[in-house]
Amino acid sequence: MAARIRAIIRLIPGRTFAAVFAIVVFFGTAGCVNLEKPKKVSLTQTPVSRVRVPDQVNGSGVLYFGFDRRLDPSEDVKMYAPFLRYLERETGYRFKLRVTLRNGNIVEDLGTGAVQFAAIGTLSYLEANKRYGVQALVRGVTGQKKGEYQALIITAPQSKIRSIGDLKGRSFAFGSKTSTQGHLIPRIMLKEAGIDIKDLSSYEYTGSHFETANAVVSGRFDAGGIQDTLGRELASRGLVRVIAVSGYFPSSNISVAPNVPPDVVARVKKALLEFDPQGKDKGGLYHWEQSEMPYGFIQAADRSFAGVRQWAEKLNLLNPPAEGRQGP
Amino acid sequence: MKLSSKIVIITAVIVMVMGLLTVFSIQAVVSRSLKEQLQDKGLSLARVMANDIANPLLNGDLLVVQRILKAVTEDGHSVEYAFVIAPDGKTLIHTFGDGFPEALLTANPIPAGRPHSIQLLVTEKGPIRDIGLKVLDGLDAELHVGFTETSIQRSLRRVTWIIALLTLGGIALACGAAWLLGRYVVRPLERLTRLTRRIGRGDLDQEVTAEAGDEVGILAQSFNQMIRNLRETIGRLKESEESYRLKNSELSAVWGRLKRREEVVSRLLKKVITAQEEERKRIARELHDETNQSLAALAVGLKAASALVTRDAEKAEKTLEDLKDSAVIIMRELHNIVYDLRPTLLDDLGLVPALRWCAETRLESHGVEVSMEVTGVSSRLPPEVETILFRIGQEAISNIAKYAGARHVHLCLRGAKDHVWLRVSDDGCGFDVDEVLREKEGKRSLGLMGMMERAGLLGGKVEVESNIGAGTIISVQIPISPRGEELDGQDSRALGG
Repeated sequence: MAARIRAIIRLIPGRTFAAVFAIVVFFGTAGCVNLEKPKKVSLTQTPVSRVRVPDQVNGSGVLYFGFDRRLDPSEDVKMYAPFLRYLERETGYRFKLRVTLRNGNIVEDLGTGAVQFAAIGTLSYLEANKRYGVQALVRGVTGQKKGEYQALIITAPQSKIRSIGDLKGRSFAFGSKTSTQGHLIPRIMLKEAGIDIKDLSSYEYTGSHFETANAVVSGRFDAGGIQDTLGRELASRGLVRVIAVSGYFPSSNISVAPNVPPDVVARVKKALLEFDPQGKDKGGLYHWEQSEMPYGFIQAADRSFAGVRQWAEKLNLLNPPAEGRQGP
Repeated sequence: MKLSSKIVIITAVIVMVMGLLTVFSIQAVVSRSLKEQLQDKGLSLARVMANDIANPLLNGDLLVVQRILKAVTEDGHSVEYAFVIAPDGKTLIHTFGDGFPEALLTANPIPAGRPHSIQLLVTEKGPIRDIGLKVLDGLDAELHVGFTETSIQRSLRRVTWIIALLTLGGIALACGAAWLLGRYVVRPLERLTRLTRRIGRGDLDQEVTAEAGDEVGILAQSFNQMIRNLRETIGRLKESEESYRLKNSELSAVWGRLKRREEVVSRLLKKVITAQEEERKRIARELHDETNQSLAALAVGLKAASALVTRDAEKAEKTLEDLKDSAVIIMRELHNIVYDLRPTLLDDLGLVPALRWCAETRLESHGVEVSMEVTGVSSRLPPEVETILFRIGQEAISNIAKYAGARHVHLCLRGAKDHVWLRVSDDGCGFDVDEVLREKEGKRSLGLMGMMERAGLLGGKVEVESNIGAGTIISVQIPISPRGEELDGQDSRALGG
């Protein structure tokens, strides 16, 4: 047997044999070698019921940005995240989003310094300004190419309601309680039509324009107050019918908390005013056209809010929050 | 080792090596592919989960998030665990029933600026691939999903077994095919080998059957052609050998003749030298015995005469007269001696007078009647022809005078356009020609051979006819044209056979 094996080996020239052997070993080990570096982790040792999650956020040098919730919170986040990357590029500061939970309050976040900047509606600004001295830096330029927007009152397409006057004794859906287009302006529109909320059969704060539209389209409510861009879009698709359009009111703004250093404010304001979402800064944005500042920003001044401040005071909407917010 | 065995072994080795390479390569490829698929699938699933939990997470509906995570782990997607770090960076939602393993929290951190991170973990439950990704871009919330790779390992083992079995089957099949191929290739080679051995033993009659048109068939055809060429070459060699053998025999015969001729020439040369010496002796003897004596007597007589002159003048005159006669006799003797050497007749008058003179002087004095007949010779012949013919005639005449005891001798000289013919015939006692010629040192044989040699010098030939009691005829024919053949034209009997 040994002689046969030797005879077999002699058949193959030495160099050929060595080359073949090297190839086999190479492929063999290549197949066996795992180029990854696995980590050894025990899934059963030291289980703990309460885990202290290490701080992921390094608070120093980070500016937090909040926002009034309008769409799905995840959609809001997707929309503001690339916007913050723009601010980071232009200012050099680090920005992080802070989402106000449903039972939270962006006004309080601004006032307590949980967030330094926030995209908020007029009503939220008026409240934050009254309570904490929050200042509006810039106002959003809306689809009408101005720093103002409107609200719409909508009904279902098949509804028999034709005007605001027909809403007396009907159910009405407002958006978020802090929403200007979803609450303040529709209230003004109703008041101007001689209807107070107690004249409605029922009303509810749905929490967002989207939920208001859902409530009206589904027929749960006879009418609802909604953001102009969303309302017009739904109407164009035949999902709702617009029965009233408001006048122009100061649009949403970006406000700054009172304790932010002035140089930071100045640099951020400059970046905001230079923001061109339809031009050079369009790349990377996520559905910015659905925001309340689709065409960027203009200078904001507190005096612009005088008229709407009066209405808000009149409708007692600037009082401190008593109970928690309503939500779906 | 047999060629068929070598083919089988080499084939088996090749298939085995290729099989091993295939196993390793496929294992690596399949493993990498499965892992990549798992990774892609895991990442897709994690993205879907992140999408599903984003709103409840942001709305603070942590129980909804918990339910979603649990559903995924129970849904058979090879998900071993899932956990979420809430946007506040502190709250943790997970699927571990017995408590969250703290080490897992830092096992796969998502690097800053990257949307996700994938890390292979080695755990008690086997290898688990942890896929971590941001729930939403811009938020610090993280979702981690752990996918077990046990299924991959199982699939890999299955694939490896199948390939190994296929490789073994391939080896067996290849060995069988190689064995058959070996037999197919080797069988004609074995036939060729047997035939080669037969050829080695000298058997060139058989050929190989060349059926196939492949390399082996071409080899067989070439082999057959080689056998045919060998047969032809051997046949030609045999013919050449026979031809050379015949030529060799002829050469041997020629060599024999040359040797005999050389002996003859040697004997003739001796004879010539001896004859020369004999001739010199004869001349010396005759000069000494006769001429010298005569001259001595003449000298004495002259001395006596000179003495007589003063005493007796008459006697002196008579003595001188006698001495004058003696001087004449001496002169005649000298003349005979000189004539015997080479008769001036031959040079001055030619062959016919010289022969007549020789025959008359040698034979008539012995009572032999001489007659001569000459036809066709009207002018002088070339000197060498006349000399040869004279010497031959002279030898024949001398032999007749010494041995024949003849009464009549006839000389016949006949000339033609291209030859001259001389015949000397006598009616003497004759002799046995063969016997005489066999006498190697005999005077008569040397004389006959000398005649033949002389004639041969000019391309002529001598014939001797003689029988005991029946006389002798010696015929010589000399061509007048330039010398022709050599000894081949002579009577073979003259050479002694």
